[in-house]
Amino acid sequence: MNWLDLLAWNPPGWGRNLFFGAISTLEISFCAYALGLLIGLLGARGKLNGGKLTKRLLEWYTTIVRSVPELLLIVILFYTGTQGLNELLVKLGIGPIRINGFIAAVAVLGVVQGAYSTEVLRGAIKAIPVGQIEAAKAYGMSPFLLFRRITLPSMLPYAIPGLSNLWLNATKDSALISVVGYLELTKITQQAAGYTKWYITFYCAAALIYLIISLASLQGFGMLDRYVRRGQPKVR
Amino acid sequence: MDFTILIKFVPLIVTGLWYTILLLVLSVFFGMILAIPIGLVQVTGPKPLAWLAVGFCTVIRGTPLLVQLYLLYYGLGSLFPQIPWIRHSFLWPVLREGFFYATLAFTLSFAGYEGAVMKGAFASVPKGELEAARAFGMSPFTVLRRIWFPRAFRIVLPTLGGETILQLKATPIAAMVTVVEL
Repeated sequence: MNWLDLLAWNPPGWGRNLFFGAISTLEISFCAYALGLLIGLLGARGKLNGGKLTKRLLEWYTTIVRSVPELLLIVILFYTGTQGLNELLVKLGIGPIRINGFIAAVAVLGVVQGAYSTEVLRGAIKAIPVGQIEAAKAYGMSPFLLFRRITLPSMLPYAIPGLSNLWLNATKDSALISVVGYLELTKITQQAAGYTKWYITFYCAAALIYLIISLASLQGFGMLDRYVRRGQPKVR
Repeated sequence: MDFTILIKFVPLIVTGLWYTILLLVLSVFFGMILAIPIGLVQVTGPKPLAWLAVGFCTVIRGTPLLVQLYLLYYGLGSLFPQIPWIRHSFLWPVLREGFFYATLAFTLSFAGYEGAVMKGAFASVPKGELEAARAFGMSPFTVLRRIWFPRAFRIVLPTLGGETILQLKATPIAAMVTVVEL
């Protein structure tokens, strides 16, 4: 058997498994990223115009999550999170449920991502000149309309570079989910390599897949960046 | 929750802390040494070398550290025992340990991230200063040692602090290859 046979699409090749592993990695990353953005948007809003208690709590959340290593957070949240939820359900009289690995993975990564995107979005919103928002308020825009017409379009140029970094981090952090046994690209690679003993081949293949994901995302974010910056004077 | 159980593990935690710090210091030190030429050739070096450096940075930054570590630990780690002279050399006790591979992977990763940062730093030293140094008749190496590197290093220092903290937060990954750290 040479390395091409091992990476072939059909068994005994592992190509199909690697492909679905990559899809699974993308699914986790995408859902976690979306959840992170949602948390980030609410968090940034809370940090900017929330009450004292909200601000304090969010400060704790972002500080703790951003200063504890991701791997540790994932392990802690994955095990205590599922255990805690089950205990709660038992107390409520519903009985324990088996928590879906995908949902747990997304929730854990999403909480981590949320802390980072809170900071990115807060910074971006703060970079908008106050006068613009005051002007929009003076026009009598509702908060939602104000967000959609003014805040969102003018914060995006500041937020996109940070958000692009976060997305790359999400794809790479999703590799850490393999540690708690979820079947994504890294875990499948580990199984394939362990089963066939062709370690270098499979890990190189996995690295290549991650690299392709990263490079493609960079292209995508570059295009997005050019789009949201349309009409702005060019730097340099 | 019962935290008294922690007391039993204090000695183990201290050992773990020591390994974490050792791993951090070694990888930041050697990573920085690697990063300087990697950054430099991207700014001035001959084209092939510059491409090589850019490629290295892209690959390191585009793949998860966990995969890099597995590649080195399982990949290289499974190759080495097959080569007899390595097996019998004095280095074998070191090459057998997960710690070696963890340090290697972390050093390379740090070099990749830092190489990109150093490139920016070298590029942002004002041209006039370098021209002035050359006008004084300094050799290229003296320019680098006296002017270019100190200036770039000062620019990079704040970023370096942040990167070191990121590196510290990456150390738990070493636990995946049997290193007993914090």
